[in-house]
Amino acid sequence: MCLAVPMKILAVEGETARVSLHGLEQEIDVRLLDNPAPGDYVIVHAGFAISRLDPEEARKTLELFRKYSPDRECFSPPPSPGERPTP
Amino acid sequence: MTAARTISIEAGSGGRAGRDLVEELILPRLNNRFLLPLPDAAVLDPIPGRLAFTTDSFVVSPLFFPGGDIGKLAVCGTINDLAAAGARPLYLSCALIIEEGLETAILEKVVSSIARTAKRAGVLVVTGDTKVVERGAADGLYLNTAGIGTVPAGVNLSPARPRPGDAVILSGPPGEHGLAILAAREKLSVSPQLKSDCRPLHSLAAAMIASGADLKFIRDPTRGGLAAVLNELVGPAKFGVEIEEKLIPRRGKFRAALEILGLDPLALAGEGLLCAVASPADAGRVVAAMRKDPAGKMARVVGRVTGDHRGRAVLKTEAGGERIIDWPAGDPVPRIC
Amino acid sequence: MKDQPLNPELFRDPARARELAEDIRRIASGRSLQLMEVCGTHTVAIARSGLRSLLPPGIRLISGPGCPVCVTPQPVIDGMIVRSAQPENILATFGDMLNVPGSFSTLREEKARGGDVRIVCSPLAALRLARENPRRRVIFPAIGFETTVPTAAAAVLEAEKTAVGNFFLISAGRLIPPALKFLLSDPETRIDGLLCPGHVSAIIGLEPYRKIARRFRVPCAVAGFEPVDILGAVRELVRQAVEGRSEAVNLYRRVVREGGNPKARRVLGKVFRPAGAGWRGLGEIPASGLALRPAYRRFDIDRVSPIELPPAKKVPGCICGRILRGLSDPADCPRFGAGCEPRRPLGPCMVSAEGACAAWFRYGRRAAIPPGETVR
Repeated sequence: MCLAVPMKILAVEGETARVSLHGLEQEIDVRLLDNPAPGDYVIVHAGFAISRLDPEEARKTLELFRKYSPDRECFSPPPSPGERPTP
Repeated sequence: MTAARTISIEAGSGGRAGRDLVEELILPRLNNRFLLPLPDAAVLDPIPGRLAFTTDSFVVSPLFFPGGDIGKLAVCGTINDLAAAGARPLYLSCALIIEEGLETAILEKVVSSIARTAKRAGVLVVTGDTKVVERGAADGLYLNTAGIGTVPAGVNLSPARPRPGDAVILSGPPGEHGLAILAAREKLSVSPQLKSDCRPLHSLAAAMIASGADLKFIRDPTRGGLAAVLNELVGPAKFGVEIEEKLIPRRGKFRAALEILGLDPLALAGEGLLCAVASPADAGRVVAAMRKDPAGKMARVVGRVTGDHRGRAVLKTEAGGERIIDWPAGDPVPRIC
Repeated sequence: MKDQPLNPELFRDPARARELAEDIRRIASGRSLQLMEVCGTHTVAIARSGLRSLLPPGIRLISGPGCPVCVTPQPVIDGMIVRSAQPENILATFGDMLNVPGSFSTLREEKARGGDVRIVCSPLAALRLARENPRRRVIFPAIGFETTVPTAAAAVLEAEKTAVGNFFLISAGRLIPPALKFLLSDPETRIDGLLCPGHVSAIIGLEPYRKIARRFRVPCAVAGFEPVDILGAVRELVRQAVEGRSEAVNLYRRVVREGGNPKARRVLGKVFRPAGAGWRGLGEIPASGLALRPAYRRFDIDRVSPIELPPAKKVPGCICGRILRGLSDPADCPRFGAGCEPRRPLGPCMVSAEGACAAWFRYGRRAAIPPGETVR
C-alpha cells in the first residue's frame, strides 16, 4: 500500500508547506519531518510529507541498477555509513 | 438578506408560470427563427445528404466546474457525438429537467452558456422543453440534447473497417475532463485549477475529413475514457490494438494530479478529444490536418491495429512491458493506498 | 521535476528495464522462484507497467498482505457501513474503501441510499469536515499501515489541540512486520524473497527486515515504485536466492533511511499502541493492529458509541486468504472471473485496484500474451 509521490517544497509556514509537482501546487503537512526547507524534495502520502528525497542516493541507485558486467561483481549495495552490519 | 429567486414547481406546469420561464429566461438567450414562434415542433429547411442524429443526457455534478458547466457540456457533448460520426452539426434540441428551488440565476447562467457554446459552434437550438420536478427528485439540473448533422459523401466510419497495420490516432491528452470533475467534486485544493477539456470538436473532425485521408473509425472517448473506446473497437473484431504509452499526449499538471490520486488516465473521460483509426499511408496527413486545429495541437499516432491478440487492447508500457487495457470498472475514485 | 537524478523518468527507462530483465533471466537460469511483493502499491505498479511480461516464466511475483482494502476484516468493514447509514454521522474515508463489500452492502451503496459518505485524501481533510459540521459526528476509518497511521495520529493530536469534539476514528491500522512473521512461520508458505514496501520502510527503517531475513532465511529488498526500482530489487532477490544468501538490503535509499522516520514513529506511538488484530484471510495476529491509547480513547468511535453488528457473512469459494499467503494465484480461485470481477467483486482481493485479483483481472494474468489468442 501507500501511494506517495515526490514533490518539491516551495515554501514552509509552520507545519504547512506549499509543494509542487510538474507545475501543480498543493498544500501539505510537514509535521512528521525534521526541518523541512524550501528546495527539499519530499515524499507525500495522505497529505503529509513522510520522508525527504536524497538526490545523491538516487544517483547511486541508478548506478547500481546498471546491467551486470563481469568487472562489476557486486550487485548488492555497499553498506551506507552508519548502517549496522548484520552480526 | 433577500432570498435568491428560485424556480418554482408551477414553472413546470403548462400554465402562465411555465410560459413566463420560457419567454423571460430562455428565449432572450436562445433566439432564432425556428424557435421563436414556439411551435410544438421545429420545421427545418431541407438538409442535403445523409443525416446523423444523436441524443445524450447530462447529469454532471458540480453544475459548474473549471473549464465549463453543464450547459457547455451538453452542447459540446452532442456536437462531438455528431463530429465522431463524421457529421457537420446543424441543429440541436435541448430539454431541461429542473429541480424545484434551483436558483434562477444558476439557470440563467447555464442557458447563457448553452447559447454561447451553440453560437460559437454555428449550431442552432431549434426546439426544447422544460420540466420542473419536486425537490429531491433531481440534483439541481439535468439536460438532454439531441442533434442533427449532415454527413459528407465519401465518409465511411465503422468499427468493422480497421485492418491490421492501421494507425490509431489521438487528438490530445486523455482523461482531462474526468480528472477536472473529480478534482472539483472532491475539493482537491491544487493550483492552478485543473480545467476540463470540454470543447466542440466539429471543426477538428471536419479538418480530418477534409484532409482526404481514408478515415475508418472515430470516437470521442467520454465516459469510460480511451479504455472503453479501445475495448469497444476490438470487442467483436478479428484484430487487436496496441497502444504505446510513451506516445500518449499528456500535460504536466494533469500528470501530477494522476500520480497524486493514483488514477489511470485511460479510464477517465475526456470531453475535448477524438480517437481515430486511419490507414498507415494516410496517418501523417490526418495528424498534420488535426494539428492545425486548436483542439488537435497535440495530435499524434499512438498505436496501431494488429493481427495479434485479437479482441484485446494492449498497452506497451513506458518501461517496455505489456499489459491489457481492460474495460474500466465503475467510477474512478482517488486512492491513497 | 527535471532535476537529475531525481527525475522519476530515469527510473522508467525501458533500456535499463530490459537490461535488468536480462540479468534476472540469466541469474535465475531457469530456476523457479516465488517472490512476494508485500505492498499493494507495488502490485499496482507491477501490473500497470506490465513488468510480468519482462520476467522469465520461472519468476513468479505474488501479492502479499500490504493492501488495507484486502486485509481489513469483514466486521470492521461492516462497522463502517452501519455507521455510514446513521444520519448523525459523516463517514469520511479514503476512496479505496468505497467499493469494499461488507456482509450486506458497500459504502458506495449506502451513499446511494442517502448515507453521508465523503471521500478524503488526507486525515486532515476529515478533521476539516468535522470543524465545518460541528453538529455531526465525522468518522474516519484509520486504515493502513505504518505509512498512513502516523497521519491519522497527527490528525488526532491536532483535533485534541484544537478541541474538536466531533472527530472520531475507526481504529483499523495494521503493522507489517508481525504479518510477515506470521506468514513466514506457516510451514505451508513458500516464499523465496520479499520485495519490501518502500513507503512503510520510510517509517520503520531496515531493522525489522534484518530480523526477518535472519530468522526466516529469506532475502529482503526494500524497493521504490518505479519499474526500474522493482526490477532492480527482483534482480537482487533472485541473486541472493540463487547464492543461498538471505540479507535485508535497501534499494530505495533516496527515500528510506536506515533508521526510518523516528519522528513519524513517535507521533504514531503517542496515539496508538500495538494490539492483537484480525486480518482478512489470515486470521488473528498478535500485536499486529493498532489501538488508541487510553489518553485518546475519546476519539475511538467503537468505544464512544459501540454498535451491535450482525454476524459477518462469508463468501463461499473465495480463496483470498490463500492468495494473500502466496499459496494460490487469483486464477486458481473458482470464483475468479466467474461471479467475481472488478465490476461486482465478492472478495477483497478483487475490490481494491491494487488487490491481487483485480490487478490480474485488469492488467492481464499471463506473462506474455500469445499472438492471436484472447487472454480471457
